[in-house]
Amino acid sequence: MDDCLSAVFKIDDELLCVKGHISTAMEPCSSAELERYENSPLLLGRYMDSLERSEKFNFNLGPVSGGLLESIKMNVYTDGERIVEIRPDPTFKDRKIKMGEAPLDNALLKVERINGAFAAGFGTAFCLAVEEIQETPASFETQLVRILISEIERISNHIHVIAKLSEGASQNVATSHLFALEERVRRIVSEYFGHRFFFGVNGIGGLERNIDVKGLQDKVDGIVDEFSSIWDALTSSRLFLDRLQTTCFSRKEWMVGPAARAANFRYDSRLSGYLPYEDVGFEVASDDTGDVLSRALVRQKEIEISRNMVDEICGKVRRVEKCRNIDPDKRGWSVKRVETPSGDMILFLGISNGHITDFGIRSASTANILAFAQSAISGILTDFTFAWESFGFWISEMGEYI
Amino acid sequence: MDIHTSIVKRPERTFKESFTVFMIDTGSCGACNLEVKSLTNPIYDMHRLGIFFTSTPRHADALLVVGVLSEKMKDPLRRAYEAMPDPKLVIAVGACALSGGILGSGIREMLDADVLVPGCPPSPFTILDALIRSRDGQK
Repeated sequence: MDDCLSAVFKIDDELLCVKGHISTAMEPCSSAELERYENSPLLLGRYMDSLERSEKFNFNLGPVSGGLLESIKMNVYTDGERIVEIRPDPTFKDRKIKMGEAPLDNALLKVERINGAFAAGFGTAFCLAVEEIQETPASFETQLVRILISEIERISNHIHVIAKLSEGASQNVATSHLFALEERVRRIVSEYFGHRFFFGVNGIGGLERNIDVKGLQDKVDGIVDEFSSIWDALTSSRLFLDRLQTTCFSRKEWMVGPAARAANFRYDSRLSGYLPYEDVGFEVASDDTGDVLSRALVRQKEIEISRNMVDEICGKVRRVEKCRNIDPDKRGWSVKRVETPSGDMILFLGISNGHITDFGIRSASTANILAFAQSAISGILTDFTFAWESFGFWISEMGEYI
Repeated sequence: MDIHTSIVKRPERTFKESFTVFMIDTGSCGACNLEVKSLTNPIYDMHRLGIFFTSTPRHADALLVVGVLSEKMKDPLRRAYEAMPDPKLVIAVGACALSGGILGSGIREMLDADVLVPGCPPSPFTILDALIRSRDGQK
């Protein structure tokens, strides 16, 4: 699937696309390709069961519902037991964030708040794009710190997703323990990086804060060790495994992130080397079944791999000083792909005179939302929460930018 | 020393023994949602204080709003508020709900918040402190 259409951006009335799972090359998008893309039944969200049912009815969920952390409307078609079709509408909380003509410093604040849970990943992508345009790469230590914050963000997010799966399976002790662990990660992040969600850590050309990682390695190791013991207990529970195993299969080549890797598609933007991942022991985690359990297993493996990378970086870096390196006169554009905890995010950025001229993002949630809708078909209504949570969606990153 | 960072304009003592909150996301980045959700973890455990989340505004004493006010969430916000029984409180959590922050406009054009909880995002301690004070009469 190296020629699959991964993202389409409209720039000066011209359509440009990014293809495949690693490339950041932009090329013209032919009208035939776009037509195929736009008319794809997958993208239109038409996932009819192979057996057309005459007695199906629409069960509306949202946009405001107690079971969902964010606002989204789900049109769930069911015959009373099985899910026949799902049409998600993520547009309700679309903020239509104004990025056009924003000065770069101000834009970074906004980019970090596109998805607060992935602020390290989004901020890193933006800073890398600006630095490429300005031809002023950040120092090696800064790049290692960017890996460090991205991987701690991944640990925090994966613990959250597994906690939500555990909550769905009514494993209340494990759920409470995991949510407490997530809180402890946030406190560690706050202690070492100055903000519970990494806001304001990344800077263009460097870092906005002095970072001292003394003692961080032991604290992250403690979190991951504790997570491992909870995971062992969870996976020894037949009740937990029964709810996740063979639930909501998804095996689409255009998926990204842990969902793709759970179906043995070993796509991972970190392989492209946008940061020096090869120097810190990165490896791709995968599984081969493609069900909810596989997606949880991939996340569990990634927590271990991320821990190893954090250990490696803490052994190489002790203290990184705040630094800045901006040349406001440079102009140009750049495409960056960054592996956020939910998967590959593609950012397109054009700048001129220190201001943004073009901006676009294809987030992991945008790429995977229809795989979720497809995976839930033929499942029963109580499978819904497992299908939804196992992808790790964030509606906030599915908006438009003006 | 006043350690409170939130502003409680109108506390409602009716909710002193039991306080039920309905959260609505009108356009957040997700960080406020996570911090509000944290209140149920064993570290903050708001249930021990008689504070609970409800999944319907019909059972809610307070409407807790996070995020900027996006166009399509105006109607769900209005309908959620109207569905709540009296007396009721509106709690705006986070810079976005308060003023719109750097991303949009706050909820002020639709609802007058009784409790203002600043921060980007406010920490769970700050949110919990605001919830406690909004029902026990401390301003």
